[in-house]
Amino acid sequence: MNWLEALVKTHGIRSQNSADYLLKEGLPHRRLEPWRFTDLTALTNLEPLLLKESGPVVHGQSPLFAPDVVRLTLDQDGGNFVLAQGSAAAPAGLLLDLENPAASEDLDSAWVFQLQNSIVGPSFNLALGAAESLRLELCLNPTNSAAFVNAKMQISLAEGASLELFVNIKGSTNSLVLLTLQATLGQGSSLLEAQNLIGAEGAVLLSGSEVNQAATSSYERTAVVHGWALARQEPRVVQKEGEAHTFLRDLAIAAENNICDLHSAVRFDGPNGRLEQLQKALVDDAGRSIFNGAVQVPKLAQGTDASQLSRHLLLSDRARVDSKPELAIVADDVRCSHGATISSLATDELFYMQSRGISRQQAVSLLKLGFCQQIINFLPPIAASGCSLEAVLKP
Amino acid sequence: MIVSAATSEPLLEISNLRASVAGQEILCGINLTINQGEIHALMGRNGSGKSTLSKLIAGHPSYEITAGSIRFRGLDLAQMPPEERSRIGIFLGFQYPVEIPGVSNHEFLRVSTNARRVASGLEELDTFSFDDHLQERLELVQMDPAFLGRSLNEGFSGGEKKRNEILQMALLEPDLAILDETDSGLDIDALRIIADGVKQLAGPQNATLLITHYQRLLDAITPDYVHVMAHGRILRTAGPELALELERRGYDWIDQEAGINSRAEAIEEAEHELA
Repeated sequence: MNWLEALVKTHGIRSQNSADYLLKEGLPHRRLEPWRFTDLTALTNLEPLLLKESGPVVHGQSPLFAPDVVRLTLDQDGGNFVLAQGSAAAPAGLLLDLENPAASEDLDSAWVFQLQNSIVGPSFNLALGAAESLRLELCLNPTNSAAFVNAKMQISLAEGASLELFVNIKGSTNSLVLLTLQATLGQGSSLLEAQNLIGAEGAVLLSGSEVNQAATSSYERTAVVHGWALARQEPRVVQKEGEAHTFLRDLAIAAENNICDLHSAVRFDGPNGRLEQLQKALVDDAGRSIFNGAVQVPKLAQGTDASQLSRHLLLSDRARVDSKPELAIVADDVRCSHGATISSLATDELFYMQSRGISRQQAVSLLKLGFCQQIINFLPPIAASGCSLEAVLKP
Repeated sequence: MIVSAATSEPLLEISNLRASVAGQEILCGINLTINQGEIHALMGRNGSGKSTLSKLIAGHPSYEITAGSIRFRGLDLAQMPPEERSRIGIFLGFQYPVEIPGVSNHEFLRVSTNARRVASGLEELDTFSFDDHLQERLELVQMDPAFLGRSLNEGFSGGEKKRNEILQMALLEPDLAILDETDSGLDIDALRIIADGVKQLAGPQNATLLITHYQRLLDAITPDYVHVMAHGRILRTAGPELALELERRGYDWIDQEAGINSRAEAIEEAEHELA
């Protein structure tokens, strides 16, 4: 029994079709272009037979606590989502199904979706009606080492609906976290998603999102990821009719032997869509950052205004960055810009701070924090309060 | 207030200083002594070595001292890192203050102020005490408090950056303030505010070295000494009347008296060699 088969069979099959397809295809490998730079050793180092579903024990309030936030966590067996202790009650009439969401078997989805659809795990289905609004937090903090979390979110927003979604994950040692989001945004709706994804030694995060936007909708994603042996994120957005607005902001911190891998894809299937993307990564020790940012602007997407900026701060001779903007533009009446920079700490910035009595060590720390702050600043206040990087960035 | 004991030894003593950057000699034997209570002006053409000298005193790592020494209160600065120089009372107001996105101006000011205070044997200021202290100092440079909430110098105009430099000087209360072309890029009102701030901070316990091209700053702050630099050396030192003479006559006559070709002659010579 190979690694993948052991994982699927140990934890139960969610969809036989997906499992058959997955096992036939096997693990991704470096001959596949989207996986060319991704070393899966951290994943295969996890022992599938030892990974256990885990329900979190939540002590005290969430750092994101706010009285109006509906807070979901896992039950004691880790098999289902439940309302967390201290959570606001779900509003009357809210369509929030925590037990039997529709299965998805799209075999064209990213590998993480195929993997997730193959294995039993908790999921929820949320539908907001026209002009409804909700603040929702997902809190997944497995308590045991070698925990297995396989969480799936399906969200549908009707016209004018508004959802703030805070995803707060703290992986345990040698844990495997699969996290996916499928969202459909109706006209004029808005989804604000803030992810704070904190790893642990040997832990692996595989996450993917598929967001389909109708005209005049807004999708704003800000994600902070650090501390994972391997974190691969694959956000995909399709503006089905154009005329929508997408913000993607990602911050990764890869130290020690961490690998942070972000593969984003945005496609405009209509005119006058807007994208603002900022990806930043701070890479230290033998850490590694991979960024692949695809933006597709076909002929029908005239009037698109898309910007993509990737910035890497390289702090060690052993650290490595692979950055690959991938803009495919066929429409001719568009404004698309991209930039990618890889730099180390600037001597003049360090000198300026030192000349004010700040030690070199503290100056380095402030500059690193400053680099990250540009993304943190975009987190909503209650999410930012749960995202303290000082300890992570201490020299 | 941070007060250092007055001594009879010079505050700054530079002796036969030679320095290079990337193997090229920039300073070729500088001698300069500054005592407490004095205001010095350093003038000279672009490229004469003024900014290099200021950065060397502050400890910029790109410049290498190849001979001579810089002493501050008798301490040899050669091996001292920039932060130590700041903590013992040396301040450099930058000609081009760097922008550092993401680092809050307020936090930067608080951390640097406390670093200087601790080195001076004073207690760190907590957030509230610091804010009170900061408020007083803001008034000195008539700076909008909104700039405190922004990233350090990011998006500041040239004048705002210079005000922020003087604000830092006011908070750090240095014994020696070196202001590198603090007057460049300022409108008349901003220049007056900056000059007033510098004058208020100057006193018998400290000293100021103004690096400038223009008499207009020296109209507001009268120096005790004016030095003229060229080709990495100080060619002439005199009283404030020297600045007025430079304003009238330019720099060529200084070169000629020092036996150095004037710029016009140097160009003529170069053209002749090319021909």
